[in-house]
Amino acid sequence: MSILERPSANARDRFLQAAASQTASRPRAWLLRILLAGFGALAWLVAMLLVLGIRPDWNDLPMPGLATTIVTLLAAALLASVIGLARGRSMVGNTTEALSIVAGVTPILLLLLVTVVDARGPSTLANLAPMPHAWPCGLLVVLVALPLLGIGRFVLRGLVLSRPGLAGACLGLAAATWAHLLLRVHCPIGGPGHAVLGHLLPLLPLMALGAWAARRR
Amino acid sequence: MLAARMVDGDTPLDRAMARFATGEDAALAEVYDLGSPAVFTFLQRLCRDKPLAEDLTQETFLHIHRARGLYRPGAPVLPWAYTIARRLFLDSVRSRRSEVQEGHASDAERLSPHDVVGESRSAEDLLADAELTQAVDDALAQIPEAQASAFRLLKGEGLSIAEVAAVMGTSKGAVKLRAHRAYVALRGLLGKRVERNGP
Repeated sequence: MSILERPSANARDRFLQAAASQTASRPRAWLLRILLAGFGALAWLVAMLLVLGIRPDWNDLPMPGLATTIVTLLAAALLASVIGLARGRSMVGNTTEALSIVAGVTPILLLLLVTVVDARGPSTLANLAPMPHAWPCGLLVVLVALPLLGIGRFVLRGLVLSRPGLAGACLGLAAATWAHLLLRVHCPIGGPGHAVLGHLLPLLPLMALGAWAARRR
Repeated sequence: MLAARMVDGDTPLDRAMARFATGEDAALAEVYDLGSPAVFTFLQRLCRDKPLAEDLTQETFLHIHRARGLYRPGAPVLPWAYTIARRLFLDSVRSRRSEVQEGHASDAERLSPHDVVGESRSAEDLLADAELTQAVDDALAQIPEAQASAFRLLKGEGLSIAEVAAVMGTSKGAVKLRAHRAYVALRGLLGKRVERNGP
C-alpha cells in the first residue's frame, strides 16, 4: 500500500468549476441507450427484411436444419452483442479473456455451422458457382451490418474500455452475425461454398473495422 | 493514510459515486475527495510531474462526471478511474513525449505538503519512506511502463490481479508476468544501488 498524496486545493477548485460548466450524462443514460440501440437495431433489421423479402423456398426448407441455423446464428449474435457492449465489472468493458474467447471461437463455430448444416429444399438454388453469387450477398451483409456497428459504437460512447480493439471486434462480429441471420432468411442459394463466401466471410472485415473504430473513439 | 482495499462497490467512494449517478449532484465533490488521492498518487508516480498529474487527475474525474449516467451501481470506482487515468497518461505521453521525458519533478515536489500521512510518525520514518519511495520510483522509471504500472497497481495501490488486468486491458496471467518482471528488474536495480551506497 502506498502513501497517498492529495492534489492541491486549487486543483480541487478548478475541477469543481470545470465540472459545473460541463453537462453530465443523465441518470439512467445507460439504460436509455441500450433501449434505444435495441429498438433501433430491431427496426433496421425488420425494415431490411421487408425491403429484401423472405426467400421463396422458405416453406420447403427442412425444419431441423433451418431451426439449427437460425437458433445458432441468433445465439451467436446475441452473445457477441452482450459481451461486446457490456460495461464489465469495473466499468471498463468485459475481461480480455471473455472478449478473446467470443471473438476467437464464435467465427469458428459459425464456420462449422455453415459447412455442416446446409438446410435446402427442392426449390433451393443449388450447384451454382459460389463466387459470382457470393459478391452481392457479401456486399449486402456489409451494408446491413454497418448501421448496426454504428449503433454499437453509439452505446459505448463515453466509456473508456480497457480493450477497445477486442470489444470493437466483438461488435463487428455481432453486427456481421445479425446481418448473416437476415441473409439466411432472404437468400435462396444453398451450398456451403456460398454460405462461407457470401454470408460468413464478411465478418472478418467487419471485425477489423469494429476494432479500428473502437480504438479511434 | 493507506489506500483502502477495494471491495466490490462497498467503499465510501463507491457509495458516493452511486449517489452521484442517481442524480445527487453534491456527491461529486465527495467522489473527488475520496478518489483523487489514489488517482493523483498513481499519476504522479507514472508521469513524475506534479502539475501534469494534477491536470490528468482533473481530466479523469471530469470524464467520470460526464459518464455518470453510464455508471453501474455497485461497480468499484477506483479500477475505472485508474483505467481512465492510465489512458490519459498514455495519450499525454504520445502527444508530449519529449516534454514528459524531460519533465521529472524535483525531489521537493515529489513529497507534497499535502501528504495524507499520520502525524504520529517520526521525521526519520518519513525520510526513510520518502527515500525508499524515491528509489523505487527511480527504478520503476527505468523499466517498461506496462511492467511498472502492473507493479504499482498490485503492490502500491493494492488492487487484485483481476482488477489490475481490467485496468491494463490484459489477462491475469500477463499481469502476473509483468509484475514478476518488474520485481526482478527492481531487485536488480535496487541491489545495484545498495552496493553503490554500501550497507
